[in-house]
Amino acid sequence: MRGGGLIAAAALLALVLMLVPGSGPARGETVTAGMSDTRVEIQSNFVGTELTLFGLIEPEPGAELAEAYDVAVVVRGPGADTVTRRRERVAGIWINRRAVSFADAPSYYAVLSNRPVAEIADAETLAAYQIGLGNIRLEADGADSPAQAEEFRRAMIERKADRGLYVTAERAVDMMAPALFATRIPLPAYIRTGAYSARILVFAEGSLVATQRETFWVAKSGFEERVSNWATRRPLLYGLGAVAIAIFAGWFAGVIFRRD
Amino acid sequence: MQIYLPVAELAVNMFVLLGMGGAVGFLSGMFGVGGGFLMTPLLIFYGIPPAVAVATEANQIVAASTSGALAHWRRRGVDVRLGLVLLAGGLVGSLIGVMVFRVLRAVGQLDLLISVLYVGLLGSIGTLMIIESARAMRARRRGRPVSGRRPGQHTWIHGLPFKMRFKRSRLYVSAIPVLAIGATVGLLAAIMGVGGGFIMVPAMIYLLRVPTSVVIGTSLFQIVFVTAFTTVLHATTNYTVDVVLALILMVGGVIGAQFGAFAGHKLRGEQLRGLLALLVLAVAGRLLYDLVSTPDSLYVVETGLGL
Repeated sequence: MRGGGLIAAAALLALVLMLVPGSGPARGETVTAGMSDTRVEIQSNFVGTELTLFGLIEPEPGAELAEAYDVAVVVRGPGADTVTRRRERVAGIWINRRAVSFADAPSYYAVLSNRPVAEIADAETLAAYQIGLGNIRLEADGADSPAQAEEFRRAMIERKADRGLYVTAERAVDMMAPALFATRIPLPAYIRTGAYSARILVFAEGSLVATQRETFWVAKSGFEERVSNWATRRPLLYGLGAVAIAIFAGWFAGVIFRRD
Repeated sequence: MQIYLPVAELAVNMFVLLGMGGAVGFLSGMFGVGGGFLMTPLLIFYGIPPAVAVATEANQIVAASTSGALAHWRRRGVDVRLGLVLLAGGLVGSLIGVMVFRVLRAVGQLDLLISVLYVGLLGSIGTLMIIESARAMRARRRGRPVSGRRPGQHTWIHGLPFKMRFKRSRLYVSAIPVLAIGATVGLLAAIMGVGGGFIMVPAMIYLLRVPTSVVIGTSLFQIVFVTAFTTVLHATTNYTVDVVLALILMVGGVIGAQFGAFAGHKLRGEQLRGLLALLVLAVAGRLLYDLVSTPDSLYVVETGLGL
């Protein structure tokens, strides 16, 4: 009887040890993520939307969870050549003068985290994984000096942030349990269509322990899709169609409101 | 109600746009003007990219001038031969205008040109109209009849070569000024998104001495084809025609114009012109203010123009 009790106690202890976090090395975690939607459809009433992303951190079989995790989610929209122009006053009028272009800059960029990213990892790590508005890799073209390139780069990021296209949200990731999290990705009304990636980076004590990439699509749908497809792929037909509609509308108005 | 514009790629309030179309339509019905020179700045104030505002407004003017042109056609108020020469000039002007538009857009100076042209044009037209209507009001108070046209007077225009006979207008005049007027209007249509009637009509009356019975019909005839051509050119070179936006403006404009025409009969000519002049100057003033006042941000960001 006594021996059996000892075994039971040892088993219980083992079980407790397994459940208590932080006792083992936090290596080889995996993160599984899901999204509320993988396709955002832009319809006639589109004014922007939010996607929910949630994830679960799991230890390697046999290993244990770390004491606490930090999560950063980096979302990038399709790249586009972006030009920043600086206005200068010439003869009293504000005129676009110097222009610096950034090839293939992300049209949308968001860093969502559970606490300020500077507290999550060191600067080198943040730079390596392009976490944070200052760490987006951009190639400036047309600047005289690195200082000028930096000035235009800052201005571009600031303007994009004003429009909600570049986002930093330092408390946007909600750690619902030590290993369970959720966040909302805010997508404004004028986002570009194309493929978006959401990279989930899980940190424990300042080091990256797991990553995962989710993809979603932003596309115009139905009528809006057809109109913009025609406008860009069949511009001649589209233009002629626009004219035909206008002539018909004018003729029709003349018929119903005829005064003579 | 918010509605997403597929080419402008932004969401706008449909009722605001309908209201704008209706208000400009009302004014155009009341004053007998096209309204493009008011609609395009209004669209820009509302936040529509100037390139889209101009190209889409050209499309709307096709609709707005078609019904007028048809009505004048039925009354035999169109000098087709004169209209075709004006049109030939207009097509060339429009072609040049769309090319200029494209180049300036690529170098980031398009918005500036549109604003400067509007300030200059609206400013001078508004000022002239104010002076003219003030003079007319004073003349009326003194009991003198108001006379505009002095027929039979010859100017340097009548000494130019390549004379053509325009039967319906009872004119024998050089083709050069006709082509030049048409080209100017085509250029303005392409760069500013206006029909150009407010320039063409006075030019036809004062420079060419076209009889008033065919002036409006002939200018509308030219405007329909020039703005149609401009719409197609913008659609194929700049991809900036938004049919959803154009359709909303057409609906608002058509309805507004009917009420405007009715209201126009109730008011006296000089008062009407005085009112319109004030409105034109207000729009010019706002555009000028935007040009000279220090902007919120000194930087402008443009993404993927597709050039």
